[in-house]
Amino acid sequence: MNGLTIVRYRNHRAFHRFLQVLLLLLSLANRGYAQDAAVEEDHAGHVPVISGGLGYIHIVDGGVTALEPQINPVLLLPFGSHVLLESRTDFTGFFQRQQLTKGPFAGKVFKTVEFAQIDWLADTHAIVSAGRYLIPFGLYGERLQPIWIKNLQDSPITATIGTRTSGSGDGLMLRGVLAQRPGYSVQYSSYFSARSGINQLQAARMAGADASIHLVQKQLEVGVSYQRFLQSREINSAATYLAWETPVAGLNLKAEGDYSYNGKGYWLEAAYLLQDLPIPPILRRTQFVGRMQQFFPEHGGGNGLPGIDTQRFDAGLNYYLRDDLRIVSSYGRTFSAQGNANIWNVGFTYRFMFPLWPGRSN
Amino acid sequence: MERRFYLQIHVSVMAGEVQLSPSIRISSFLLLCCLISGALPGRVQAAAAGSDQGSSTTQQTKPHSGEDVFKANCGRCHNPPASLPPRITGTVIMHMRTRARLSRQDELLLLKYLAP
Repeated sequence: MNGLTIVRYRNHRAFHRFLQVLLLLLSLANRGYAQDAAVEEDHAGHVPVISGGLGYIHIVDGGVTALEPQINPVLLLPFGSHVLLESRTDFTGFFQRQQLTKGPFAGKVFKTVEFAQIDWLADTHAIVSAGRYLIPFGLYGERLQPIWIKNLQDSPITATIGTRTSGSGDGLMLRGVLAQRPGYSVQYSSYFSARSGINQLQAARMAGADASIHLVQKQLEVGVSYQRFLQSREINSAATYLAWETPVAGLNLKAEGDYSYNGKGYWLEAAYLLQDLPIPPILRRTQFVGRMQQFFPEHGGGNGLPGIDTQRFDAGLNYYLRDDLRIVSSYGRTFSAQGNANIWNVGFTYRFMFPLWPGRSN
Repeated sequence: MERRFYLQIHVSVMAGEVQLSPSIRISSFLLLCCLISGALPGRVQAAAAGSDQGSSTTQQTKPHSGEDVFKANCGRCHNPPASLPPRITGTVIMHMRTRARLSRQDELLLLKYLAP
């Protein structure tokens, strides 16, 4: 048996294992669906869905103009009511003038598979995901990053902490609800990712976990994340975060502190949608956003983090034309020993969502 | 500037073992203890487990409704949609259950609320 034969044999065996797991998941899904059919009293359809966001952002960063159109389609393909195949691919164009401040615009479109996973919604306490998934570290990467969700289009400085090397992991993830009561619920995620250099599927070898408690009455969520990076030289990263929908309608606060070998920092963001103010209805769709952040490098920074102390302040003004379409704008200023810089963003974002084929419409 | 942000992180540098400061370790440990204590098997809400088997909710969870679940969870990350076509509701809620780590009970309440 030569080397090529061994590789083929192993691939053959691995493929069979994959098929066995897939068939097992599908059979469990059908069984679960049959059980649910007896108790469900809703008329919700389970047809495949294409969703996602698209937008265009005009950026002026330190006097250099950049154009950034992007679209992030999400495919949702359910098998019964317990198994879901989901994926999101990011297409982002980045165009700048050839001589930065003059000349014609040039650039390219980047394509990234952000997640492509199959989820088995086993029960309240366990959702098993296999494939490529977003790393559940902190508040930003997994939850706030989509263009139609984030209030400010620029990522926080510390967003690279805990998300090396691509923001995604290839492997297994287990997540769910540990405990739920009327007043609170405790949620968790744990994952392991293998190292991958495959085009569009790059990932690092790592393991980590995230846990949060959501106080339902207070609309407050507090959580911690931990990750151990398991390739090259092993490093730990940690994050603490909170998300609070304040008693003032439309006012949300989010904050995150991140720590790693390359540095530590935090960001604090407040967003206020004037939805309940006694003002003309047309003005109630206005949202004010503010964010401040600081980063302090250690061991020279790196891995996407600045090498010097950096502070940044952002102020944003968004206007919701509809619940899925908004105009976004922001001004930010970065303060560091390398020099201060102004960053202007203006553009629009749109969230789309439609079925891939007809289903129950009642 | 997501693209620039991710382009930067492909640069590998020398890294080493990180030692979290004692205050961070202690605060993380205390928070984890709180989380674990809330998750002791004896204190796990019976309704959460019961809902997995399709049983009716207990008296403790009766005040909750699909609307409560919708208001409490959707706004944690994004501006809730004004409407959702019934034919895709089941699929979208499966997706959100995975993203937001919702319980099976919350999923059923949401389905009943959004696609009665």
